[in-house]
Amino acid sequence: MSDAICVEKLCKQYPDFSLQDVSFCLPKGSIMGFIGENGAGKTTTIKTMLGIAKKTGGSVKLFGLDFADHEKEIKSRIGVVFDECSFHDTLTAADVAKILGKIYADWDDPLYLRYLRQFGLPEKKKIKEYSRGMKMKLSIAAALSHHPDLLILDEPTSGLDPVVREEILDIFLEFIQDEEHAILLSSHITSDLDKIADYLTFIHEGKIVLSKSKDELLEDLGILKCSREEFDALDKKSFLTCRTNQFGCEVLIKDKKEFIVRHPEMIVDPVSTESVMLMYARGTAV
Amino acid sequence: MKPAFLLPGLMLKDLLNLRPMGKTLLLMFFIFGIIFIPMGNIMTVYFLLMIFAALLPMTSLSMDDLAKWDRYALTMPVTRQEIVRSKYLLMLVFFVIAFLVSGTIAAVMMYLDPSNATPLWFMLLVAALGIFYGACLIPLLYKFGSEKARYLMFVLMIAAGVFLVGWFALFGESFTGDLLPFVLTLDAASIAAVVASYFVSVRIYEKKEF
Repeated sequence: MSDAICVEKLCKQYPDFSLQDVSFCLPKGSIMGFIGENGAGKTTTIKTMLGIAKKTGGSVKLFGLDFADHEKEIKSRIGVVFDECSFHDTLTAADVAKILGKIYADWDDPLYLRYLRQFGLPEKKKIKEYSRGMKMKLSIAAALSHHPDLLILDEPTSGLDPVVREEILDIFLEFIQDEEHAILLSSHITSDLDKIADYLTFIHEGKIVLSKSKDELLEDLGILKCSREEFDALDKKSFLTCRTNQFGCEVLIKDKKEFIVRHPEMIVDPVSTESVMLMYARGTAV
Repeated sequence: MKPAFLLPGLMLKDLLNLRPMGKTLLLMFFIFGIIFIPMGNIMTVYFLLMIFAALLPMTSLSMDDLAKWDRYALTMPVTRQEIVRSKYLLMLVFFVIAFLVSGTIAAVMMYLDPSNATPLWFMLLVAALGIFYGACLIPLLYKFGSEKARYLMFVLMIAAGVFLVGWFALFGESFTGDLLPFVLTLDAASIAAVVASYFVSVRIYEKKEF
């Protein structure tokens, strides 16, 4: 199975923030959840990958092609949705089709109209009169209507109600039925990722802290709950992060099965996508 | 697979966006036309037309900023250079339209009242100023963004006004044989300024991050 995205040691330096050696690969036929708290570097990674912000180091390959050398070809095969609708308020959904139809060689008007009907988006209404959910659905319809092979979505579901979110997730699942397709979905709404992601990549303070298949991750990782004294006495080599509170410590463990074999008396809870994110965002590395 | 027409796509986006403003400007033009033309003050109308022509591409740039359009445009199969080029083409289209409308008004006026016809040099002078104004503004908008560049726009507009007033103080309104080559040189300089401005804008835009 070849990769739709392969990012290697991607770096981007800002005065007050930096992406450091971001690396991950997304195989075709799968959905990757790109998780991190606000300001962790999700949008910066996406913008740097796509050349919207200039990288200071590293390489980006999409569909096995180097981004810098095949920029136009790659861009005609991707659909991107940002957290805010990028179409001007004065336009209508019909105007968007006229514009994008002249930009994308593979623009499919009937398909676009089908999406508009499916999403209940009026063609002639000005975008400024759309609700946030409608704007997001319009962005998604526009991103899907030139038959892309890869969708890159930057928090497409944030600020939307659960009904619209589920509707949008269903569309992503439909898109991924084709084995050649792939989706990179950045979000901090972990329940959405739990529903659809095959792979999870966690980013924290500009660094990738974990990138694995979701099943593997949920199976391997565990959260140990213990007292401060117990924690101090343990060997820390299998620990990832630790949070201390008034009742004791919570520790994220790399391999819970191996740990339980060594310490059968201790309590190790299974992890959820959200608990892993919280352990990285609020805990300290061990 | 049908061929993609990138520039018309981007220009179409601007034209569709500018529809509401275009309507307002058209209305303003008619109102000013009704007031100024019967007064014989046709020159103000030419000046207005050129200002409109320079103003429309600037407005489209501000609208792009507001919608965060550039960030999205860069995910499409479009290069940064093409995005800049589409703005310059848009500006040129508006200037050509403004110039043609000015010419039509002048021709009609000449037919109706040959004694009070507008000299050609005046239209060329106003065109030169308008084009020069646009050439200065686009790189400033790209460099500083529409918010900050708005103030610079007014400073430049005042400078253009001062230039015109100065011109009339020096040469008066009457056409003398020596002025035409001078005005033509100014036009040529303005066109050269547009070309230089395009390359400066491309350089600025290449480095820009969104």
